[in-house]
Amino acid sequence: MELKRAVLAGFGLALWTTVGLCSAGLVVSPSSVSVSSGSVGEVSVRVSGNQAYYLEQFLSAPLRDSDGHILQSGILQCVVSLSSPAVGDVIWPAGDAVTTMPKRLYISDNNGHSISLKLIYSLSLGSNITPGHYRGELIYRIKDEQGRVLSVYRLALRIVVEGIGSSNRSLRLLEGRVSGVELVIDSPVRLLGEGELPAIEVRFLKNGAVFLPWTPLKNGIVLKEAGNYIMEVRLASDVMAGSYSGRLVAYDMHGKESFSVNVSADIEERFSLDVNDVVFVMRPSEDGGLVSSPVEISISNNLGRDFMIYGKLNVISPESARRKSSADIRLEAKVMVFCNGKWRQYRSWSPVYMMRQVVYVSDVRHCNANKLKVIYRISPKNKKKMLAGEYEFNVSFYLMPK
Amino acid sequence: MRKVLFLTVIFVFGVHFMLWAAFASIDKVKIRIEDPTGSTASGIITLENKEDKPIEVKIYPMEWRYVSPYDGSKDFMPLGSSCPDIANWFQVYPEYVRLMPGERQSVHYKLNIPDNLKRPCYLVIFFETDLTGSGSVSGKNRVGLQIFTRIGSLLLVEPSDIVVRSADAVSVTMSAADRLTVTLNNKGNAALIGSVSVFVMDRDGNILARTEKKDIYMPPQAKGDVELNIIGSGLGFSSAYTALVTIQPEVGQPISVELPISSD
Repeated sequence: MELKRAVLAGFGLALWTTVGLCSAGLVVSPSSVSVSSGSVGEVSVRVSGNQAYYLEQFLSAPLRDSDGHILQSGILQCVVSLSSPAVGDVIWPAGDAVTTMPKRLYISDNNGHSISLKLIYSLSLGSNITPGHYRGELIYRIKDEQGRVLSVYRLALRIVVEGIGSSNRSLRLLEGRVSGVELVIDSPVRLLGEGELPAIEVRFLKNGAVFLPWTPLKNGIVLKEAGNYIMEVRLASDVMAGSYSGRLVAYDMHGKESFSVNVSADIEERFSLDVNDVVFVMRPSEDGGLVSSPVEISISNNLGRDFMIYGKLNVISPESARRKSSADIRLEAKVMVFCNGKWRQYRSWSPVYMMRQVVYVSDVRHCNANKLKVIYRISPKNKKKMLAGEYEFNVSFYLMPK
Repeated sequence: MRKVLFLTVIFVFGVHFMLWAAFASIDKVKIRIEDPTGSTASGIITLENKEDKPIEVKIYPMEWRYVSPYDGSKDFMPLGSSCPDIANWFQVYPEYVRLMPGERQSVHYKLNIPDNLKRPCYLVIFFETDLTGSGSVSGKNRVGLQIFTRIGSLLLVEPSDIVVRSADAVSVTMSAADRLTVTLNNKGNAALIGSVSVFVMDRDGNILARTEKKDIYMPPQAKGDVELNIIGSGLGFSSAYTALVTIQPEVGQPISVELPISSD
């Protein structure tokens, strides 16, 4: 066999509780959680209190396998989200690692209102990890403002790192996450995607450093140099919503299949509108009017569905405020669209009325635009100068499917 | 005096607003409800805060209808404008949510479709975020700015026992050497969503040219024109030409109509 060894590490994380519901104030569930290879573990925490408190978490000790080998620190990541409205603050940075060092994750308000949190754990790859079953203990602790411990909960934790020979050689891709496997090769190999694979990018790390940067896996990737690699995989940014499954297949230089990794992904539908870093600066234009800086709009749409953007601009000028009309000013807008990698003009200066108007109509067959710029121009009517005083602007953008 | 006023304007508008972008994403944008009258339908739209700051989202419904040029453009109307008594049989809740970073919230909608409903209803649930708060600078030279974003999720309430889908092509006109105008008639009581294209044929049935396929969005009981570009080189007008108009609705069977081509 051309490849003496190809170790594919799948990762699994299992969490289960070892004690019942803890003392008053802190409830953790479920009582038993196990998570399949490459996926996440989820824990719900409810804190009830009547005085200011904070919640912290940490590992009681490094995670070890049955032979006493320690799993390196920092691979267990946590994302915290609120399951109920809160007046306190989640202060855990998303994706921060859980270690043996106690770290605060939530600080209540002064009255210590109750709170429900969802903690999602995942594994971060970045260097070689020896396959095996690791165990440990997560500790949740509530303290008051003086640092006195009010309640403690201990949650048993199991992390499964699977090696070759496992029936579960697979990667599950989640949006915004990196998933990976370990490869050890001693001769060149070519990796190709087969089946209904989503658009993905891969990169290879060697000795903890990037060996090959993120590259789309369209035409395959050749690894010529023998050695130990971590192959990291992520979704490309333009993956359409849907369920995908396929394989990453490694062929030797004679075209013989060496090994494969199953890949699956369920991409949720996403449809949103964002107005990025708005800077609304009005400057005098040539005719004595005012021109806004571009209002940049980003669209996140993985539905492959055409959409429309409506805009509405209301301006209250000093004159219109007095007369309750906008007869003293003329409104215009022009629209640029980012299409096929470059900006192009979608609409030249056109009149805008103080009502909802179509700004952009997509045509995803020709251009799956995801950015627009709208520039507004306000001119005085009848060649007058703009009046000094207070100008009020109200800008609205609407996104919806056709 | 004019000069002084002009400079004042420059000063007033030389104000930068750096706003924190914050937005919500939804997972369902077009929902067709075909449950019959007298039944109850419900569902969930998941709202997610994709930003790293809390956001506040106001949720409210309106009615809508497609309008000319039938490219998906819509008019929005208050509830009750064309759907009788809608406020009593359609609910969406909650009406307001505050989402922490990464948090998701289910938004429920429920319809108790009345027995006596006569025609489909077209609703939109808006998810509105105010990106600015007050957005104003206090003081003498105050400039007010508010920016809202609204994402819409469309609900097409087309009960199976009352919906009537029927469309026709009425005429085809050669409006230019490379363009045809097709007059469509949506005779049904539901919106016509689909595409239209035309084959130009000679009297022997040979295909001489074809047009682009264009998406159409027509309201019920509407008649209107759609402009279609001929693919490739244009054609001179000939009374010997006929047009095979194909309407491919999103729901239902394709409709083909053969018509003579007239000139402008």
